[in-house]
Amino acid sequence: MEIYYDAVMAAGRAAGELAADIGGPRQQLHDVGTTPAGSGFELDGALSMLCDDIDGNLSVYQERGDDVGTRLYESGRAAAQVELTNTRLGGNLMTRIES
Amino acid sequence: MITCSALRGYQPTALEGKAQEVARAADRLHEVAERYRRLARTVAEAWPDPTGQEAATSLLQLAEGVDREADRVAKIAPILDTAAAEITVAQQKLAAADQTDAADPFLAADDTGTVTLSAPAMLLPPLVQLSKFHRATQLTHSYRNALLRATKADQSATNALYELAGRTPPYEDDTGPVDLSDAAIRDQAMNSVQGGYGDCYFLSSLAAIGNADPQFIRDHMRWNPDTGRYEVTIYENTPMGVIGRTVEVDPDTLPDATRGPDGEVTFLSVYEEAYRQTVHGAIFTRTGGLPSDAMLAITGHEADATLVRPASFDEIRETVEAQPPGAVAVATNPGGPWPDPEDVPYEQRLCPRHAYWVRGFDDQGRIILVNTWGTDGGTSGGVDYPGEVHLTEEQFREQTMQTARTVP
Repeated sequence: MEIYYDAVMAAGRAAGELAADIGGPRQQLHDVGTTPAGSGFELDGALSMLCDDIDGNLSVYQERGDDVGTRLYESGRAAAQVELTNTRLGGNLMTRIES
Repeated sequence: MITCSALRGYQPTALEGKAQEVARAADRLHEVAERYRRLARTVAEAWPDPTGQEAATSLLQLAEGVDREADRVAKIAPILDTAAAEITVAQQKLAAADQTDAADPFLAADDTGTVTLSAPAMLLPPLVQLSKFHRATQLTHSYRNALLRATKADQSATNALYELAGRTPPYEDDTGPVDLSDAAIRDQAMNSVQGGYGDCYFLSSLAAIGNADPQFIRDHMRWNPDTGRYEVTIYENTPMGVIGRTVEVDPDTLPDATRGPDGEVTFLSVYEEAYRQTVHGAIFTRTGGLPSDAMLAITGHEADATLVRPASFDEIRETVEAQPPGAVAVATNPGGPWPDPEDVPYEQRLCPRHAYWVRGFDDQGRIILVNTWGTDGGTSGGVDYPGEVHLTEEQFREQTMQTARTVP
């Protein structure tokens, strides 16, 4: 268990952080799409529409990234729990033998 | 179509700024995808059981998805840059037209780019008035050229962005490199300049039909984006009857013939080349022909045509002022009896053995005939001829021969 406990915990945290990183480009696109170029041409509306569409897709990736992060983190916690239990059992066993 | 004021107020630099921001967002998304991939490798190595491998696969799938979005975002930047460049050129053309308009007190342009003569111009001598009228037509063309260029740039970029979003583009009619909007077809009919072929009878009939019914041109001259060619329907009179034939025309390899006033390809350029590929067109574009034959080749049905005497003004009005309007082309006298063209005032002068099309009637009831040589007219046999002529019925009957009328 000890072999991958640290890696699993770290991966869980990192995946969650990566999901949050998509927020940067999302905000950037949102700003591009909603700031008019000052023309009144169709292009402004089309750009805004496309940025909304991309924004929607990035939300999906962000949520999926959160899911993976949460799952990794929970697996790490489970691994830690198993390790702790083994340690306790081992300790109790040693006490019985000594007594 | 975009108005002059909208085009003047447009800031292409704002569009370029957006293009740069979009490119930066795409770069950042690629960076996020790369970090997902690195994390997937770490998980796969440090967590060798099936749960760990499944987690690594999920991370890789996420990375691919984010990369796809990054590619989609990256495609926006060049589209916006191209639109900005086209709109900048359109603004320069608009500024040049504005300068010409401001320099002539007898011309006045409205926000749609239509130039008319101001009231004081009515006091000018007829010849000067005619030249001002031609100037107004030319300037209208310059304005509309600029506005159409900006509109086309705007619409093609809009279409591209809609397609990227997987939605139906709002401007579905892809008409290729030639603008086939109603306004553009009428503008090209008025301003195209005949090339070296003897096909005034064909061009005048075609311009009259395009002016009367632009949809007819769009229906019979279709752009195929897969081949990069126009598919033009031309009708041939055969022993088995009239047969429609589709002729492909590559707009990039047209011979040096009929063009717009700035050398651009117009619907008349494309149609002329398609017609030249038919038996009738191959022969008669060298020898000259009659508008009635051209109308048959264009529409597939016989025109209502006279042969040696023109139709009356009432008959012509009946066609051009009908709803929907029809088209009328006119062939001038082939020879005597013929008034010596030099004895006819310039503004009323028609070139012998030539063809014109009828644009309508002016407020004095005179017929308006348009020359296929363009708004500046031209010279034949050492005599100058105007681009547009206004004639009374008596003057018209004296100088013309065949009229061909059709409702396309």
